[in-house]
Amino acid sequence: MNYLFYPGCALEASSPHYYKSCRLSCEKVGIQLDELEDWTCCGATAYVGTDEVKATAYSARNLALAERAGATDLVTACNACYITLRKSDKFFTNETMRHDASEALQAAGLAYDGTVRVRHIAEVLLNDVGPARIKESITTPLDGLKVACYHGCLLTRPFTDIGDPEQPDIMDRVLAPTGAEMVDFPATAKCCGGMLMTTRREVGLALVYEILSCARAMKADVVAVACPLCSVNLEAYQDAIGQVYDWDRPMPIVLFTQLLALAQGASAEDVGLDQCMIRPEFLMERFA
Amino acid sequence: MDTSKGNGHGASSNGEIRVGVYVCHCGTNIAATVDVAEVVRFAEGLPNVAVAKDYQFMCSEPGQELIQQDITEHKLNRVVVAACSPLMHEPTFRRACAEAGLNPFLFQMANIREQCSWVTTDKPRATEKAKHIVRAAVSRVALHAELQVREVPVNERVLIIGGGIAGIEAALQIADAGKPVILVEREPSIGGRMATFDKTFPTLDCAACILTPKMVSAGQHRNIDIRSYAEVASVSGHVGQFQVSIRRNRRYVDDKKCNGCGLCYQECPAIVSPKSRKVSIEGQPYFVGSYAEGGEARKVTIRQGDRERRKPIKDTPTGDCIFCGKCATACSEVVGAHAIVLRRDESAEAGKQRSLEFNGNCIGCGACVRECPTGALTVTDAQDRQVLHHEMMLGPNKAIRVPTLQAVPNVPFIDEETCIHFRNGGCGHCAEVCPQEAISYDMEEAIEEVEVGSILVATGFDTIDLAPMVQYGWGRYDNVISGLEFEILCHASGSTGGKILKADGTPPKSVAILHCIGSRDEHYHEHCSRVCCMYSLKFAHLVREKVECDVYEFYIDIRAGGKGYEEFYKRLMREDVTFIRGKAAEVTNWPMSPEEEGKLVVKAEDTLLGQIRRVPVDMVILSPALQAREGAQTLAQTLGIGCGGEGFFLERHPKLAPVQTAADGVYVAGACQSPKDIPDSVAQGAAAAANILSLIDKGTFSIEPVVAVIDETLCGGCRTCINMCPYSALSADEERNVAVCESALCKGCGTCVATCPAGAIQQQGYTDAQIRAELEGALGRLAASSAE
Amino acid sequence: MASPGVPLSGELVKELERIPDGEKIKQCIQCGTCSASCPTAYAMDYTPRAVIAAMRAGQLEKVLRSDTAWLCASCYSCTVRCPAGIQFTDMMYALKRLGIKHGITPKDDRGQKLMATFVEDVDESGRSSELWLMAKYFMRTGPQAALRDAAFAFNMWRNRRLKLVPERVKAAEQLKAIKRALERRQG
Ligand SMILES: Cc1cc2nc3c(=O)[nH]c(=O)nc-3n(C[C@H](O)[C@H](O)[C@H](O)COP(=O)(O)OP(=O)(O)OC[C@H]3O[C@@H](n4cnc5c(N)ncnc54)[C@H](O)[C@@H]3O)c2cc1C
Ligand code: SF4
Ligand code: SF4
Ligand code: SF4
Ligand code: SF4
Repeated sequence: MNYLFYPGCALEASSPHYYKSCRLSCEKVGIQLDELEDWTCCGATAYVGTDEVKATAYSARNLALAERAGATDLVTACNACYITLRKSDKFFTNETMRHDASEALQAAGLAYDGTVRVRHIAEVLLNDVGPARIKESITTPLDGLKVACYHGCLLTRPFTDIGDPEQPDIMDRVLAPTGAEMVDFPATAKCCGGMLMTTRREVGLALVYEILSCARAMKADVVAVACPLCSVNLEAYQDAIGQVYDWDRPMPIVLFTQLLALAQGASAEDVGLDQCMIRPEFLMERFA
Repeated sequence: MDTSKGNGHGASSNGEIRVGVYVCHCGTNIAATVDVAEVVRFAEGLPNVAVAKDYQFMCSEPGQELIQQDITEHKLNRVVVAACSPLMHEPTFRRACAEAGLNPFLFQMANIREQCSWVTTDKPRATEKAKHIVRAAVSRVALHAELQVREVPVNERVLIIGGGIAGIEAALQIADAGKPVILVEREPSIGGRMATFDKTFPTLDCAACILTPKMVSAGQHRNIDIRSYAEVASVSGHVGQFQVSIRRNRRYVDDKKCNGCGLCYQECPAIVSPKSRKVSIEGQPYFVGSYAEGGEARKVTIRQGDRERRKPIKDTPTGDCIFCGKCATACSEVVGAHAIVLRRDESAEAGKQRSLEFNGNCIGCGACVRECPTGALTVTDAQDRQVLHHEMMLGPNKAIRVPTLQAVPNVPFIDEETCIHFRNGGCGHCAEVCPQEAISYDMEEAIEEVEVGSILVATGFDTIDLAPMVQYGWGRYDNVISGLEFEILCHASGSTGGKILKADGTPPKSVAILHCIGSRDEHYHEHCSRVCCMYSLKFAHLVREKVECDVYEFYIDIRAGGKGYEEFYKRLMREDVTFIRGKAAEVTNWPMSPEEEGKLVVKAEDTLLGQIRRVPVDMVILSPALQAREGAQTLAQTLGIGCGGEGFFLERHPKLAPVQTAADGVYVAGACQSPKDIPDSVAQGAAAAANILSLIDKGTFSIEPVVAVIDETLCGGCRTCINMCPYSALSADEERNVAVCESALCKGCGTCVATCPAGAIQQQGYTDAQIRAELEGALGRLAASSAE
Repeated sequence: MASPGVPLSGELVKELERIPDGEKIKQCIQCGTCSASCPTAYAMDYTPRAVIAAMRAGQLEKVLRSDTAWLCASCYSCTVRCPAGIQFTDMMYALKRLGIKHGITPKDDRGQKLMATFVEDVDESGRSSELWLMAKYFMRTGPQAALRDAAFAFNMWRNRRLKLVPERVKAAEQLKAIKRALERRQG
């Protein structure tokens, strides 16, 4: 199966290990990701706050390109890209918005008819591949590993059709076949603070501390994430958190596809475990 | 009204049509916008009009007399009144015509108020429109024919579906009036929700004290036949003469033989505890039920409310066990599970010659524990919880049981899921001990056919499923319980004896009560559930009465609009309940400060302060939305009545006919019509009884002649119409190969008329010719002389 | 400069009406579910619910001057729980846009600045680059913060998670055309 893939700026620049492990784990279940040619930034959560028509037009350019390429699905691995693209798609159901944004696209020789389904890779793995086929691809189970799956806010909010907005379990169900134990994780859909980490550091730290302390309370060995932005927010500031809160034992943050690929037989190096800012040493040894 | 009168006025002797037109001022309601005199002048010029007049209030006595005089004086044989909606006064004028000897169906109403003067302020155009409306009526009325109202006799027997407080009240009223009642109740006992309450707002009187006497009277009344553990399977016929079949579920106890001694449930070894239990010997667990391994499975379990499965005993016992083998005997001979085997090994050293072997056959009934003479075996809940809020029940907790000890009828039933006999064919104890030989395991479902003249639906409400609202933690956290669960916890015959206890068996020190869970919420129910504010206040009182405890009410608005309700609210304020104005957004067990450790934390905005609050408490009570009963839609279809948007049964008119429905002879009462408290449910039950008694007293029911008539010479027997009729009024006459219409069921909706490919069906009072004439009158241009 | 209160509220409502379901804002029952679901409400001058109350009282400009909208992390917790079906997160976006449009600088303008920088970046190259975004942002908000984040940048770089040369979209004329078309429309 081939899917048209939209990496997005963050995945491409700050999370090469995510991109790599995504491709790896998908290959093992017979999925090939074809990158969308010459994509534009989706606008993330920032652009709509300035000009929503422009934001919509920019990100809809990607949808238009995908449509032109004949794709029915456009898959992304970033929560922010996922939601932004989906929102743009939804805006095309509103008369005025569609009109304005279409006009702008037309000026660039593009058009979007609203036929592309924007999807997140985690959900594709769960629904199109399914736990049974994932299970078949597992060669080196992750027995004994306790994982807290952090879905973040945008994966199931505001679009709740792919999972519960309060306690989603998409990642849990994708990773369960690896043999690792998925701990109960009430903070799974709490917000990592997004841009606040830059603009209001103290608030950002409080949010991340809440999430991490929950993972610790639930006795997780690692936190698995499905978004390059969540990944950076959760791992890059643990020192800073330690200066404000009771936080001395850093919690490794991994991409869920890294775990999946490891269980499918890839090595620590293959999946870029060494690119995690807080190295999951025990995994690196085990899968050296 | 006496509608059968007709004096040959249908057409005067020479066939001349003489119409009288009466234009009403309706005070200023019409006259201020429509030039009434002008309309009269216009009407005078219309074909067939013999006389046209206007009057201040046509519906008044003098107004009606005006018509009656003219009928005689001007030899009128058609009457048109241009006034308000026919819903308001059509019956009035029809009666006036009938009294003057004119067949009432030779009358036509023209609505120039709701459809004209009320919808505009433009006088000239309103007047024009009024003329069109009047002309439409005049041109149609000429084609009217005399129609006769049909009378059907009314069977005295009444069927009441649902034995909650509303159904019981109605049953008693009707039975006391000497009329026979069949009360069908789905559960094994009547009583409804109220039977699970400890006290009732706002007076705080004991629910059982006021309900039990009524239940008992209903049970003993010679005019009331209770069919409990039964449901209505189908209904046919029509008002006055319904044929109903009642399905009686397999109870396995013959209610005619059983004398309610209760020996069966005393002896039954199977304890109801759908949660897994732990059998331990000397404190060592032997079979431990737990959630399935892995986060995925756990979450799924929680979400779907799956019961944990019981797991087999793993080891061999030690300690106090004297290896008597009674447990093994009970297990094999009573239960038939053969899960425990006593092994004898003579060659082993002394004291170790006997051992117990546990295998995977255990079904977790606990019979072994009951037999153990030394108490070496104990049974506890697998989760180390003493109080299982979600599983509590009021009656005996056995496979054979009565729902409460006050059950009416006091006849047990067997719960197949728990009963050992139904699980593995073993046991059979109850049948052995029953002195009346009332128990038989091969009882079949029975269908009983009854004939009744009227039906009352009083099936009450359900509360919304809390499991999908993950943020409130019901089903995830032990001490988050629902309102109905709290009622049972509080009830003197509940498993804690009415003590308010947390899951670990200790009393809470703080309790939060969360209003509006699923009510006033677009994601769940838009309606206000109306009773939650009050019962939440009641809960606060009960908690504070029974335990020393802080109580917090999280509310959006306190809706206390009943007699004595606001006073009750004030009282609770004096009782030092803390009111926080803000809907709780979530409940979590995940502490962010030392005082939250081990507590449930309720997050809400105190909207009066504009502050976000985290309130740590020991127990959370959710007040879930009231919703229509599961299956209400199906029942509605069976009865030919409707359900509103929220699923509650539709009354005929929200204000003026609150207990009647679209189907003649079918009534509704209580919380099945909309969320209601007990006083209102009782009032509706009584109101429905009065409606029904008046129908019975009259003895007959008049059926409007606005029904479909089939021209059998045209009907080709294709049966297209039969499936289309929403009221099941049409059927096929196999012999003559034509469709026939049961006019008592026909509501005159006209669907069949439009459907019939042969054009064989006409609707009386709305024939094609009449409708065409009306349209022509309405659409045609006005004569130049009167149009100005 | 913004016109005070009431007219601006009207404009906000109009803004919101363009958004799917945006008009539901009128049905707020002031229950506070949004505020209590919001991870950052504790730090806001006006809680989300109070934003609507303030708007109804004609005090929208005060809200725009506060830091409320800029503390919204757009997590949609409020939106999925609001019993009135109000798209509150969209409303926060609309507030940000209105503030910018009317030149109202909030009490704490760091959010506004970061966003402006981001937008420039994307307008320029069609992509956003973490490194250059941060660099520009810190130049605008004060170098002390930049020092604080130098460690962060180093850490990212060390783990090969920072691209020094930002990517650009090849079809630059397409972007320009989109931009021009919209600017023309907006006058
Ligand atoms: C937690 C809670 C506390 C409350 N406390 C109070 C209080 O203190 N004071 C007060 O005034 N009100 C209180 N109420 C409201 C009260 O419960 C209702 O007013 C009352 O129960 C309505 O009575 P009913 O007969 O209409 O319905 P129900 O009590 O629901 O009875 C309906 C009966 O019909 C039966 N039935 C359902 N479907 C069928 C079917 N298809 N066939 C046959 N039988 C069927 C049911 O088994 C049931 O026995 C409370 C409600 C709740 C949820
Ligand atoms: S047969 Fe069933 S109901 Fe009867 S005693 Fe045995 S377990 Fe109990
Ligand atoms: S079924 Fe038999 S044992 Fe049980 S209560 Fe009735 S009479 Fe007694
Ligand atoms: S949750 Fe919705 S209804 Fe409640 S205060 Fe917030 S916006 Fe208003
Ligand atoms: S979307 Fe914004 S306002 Fe809403 S809960 Fe999240 S941070 Fe708060």
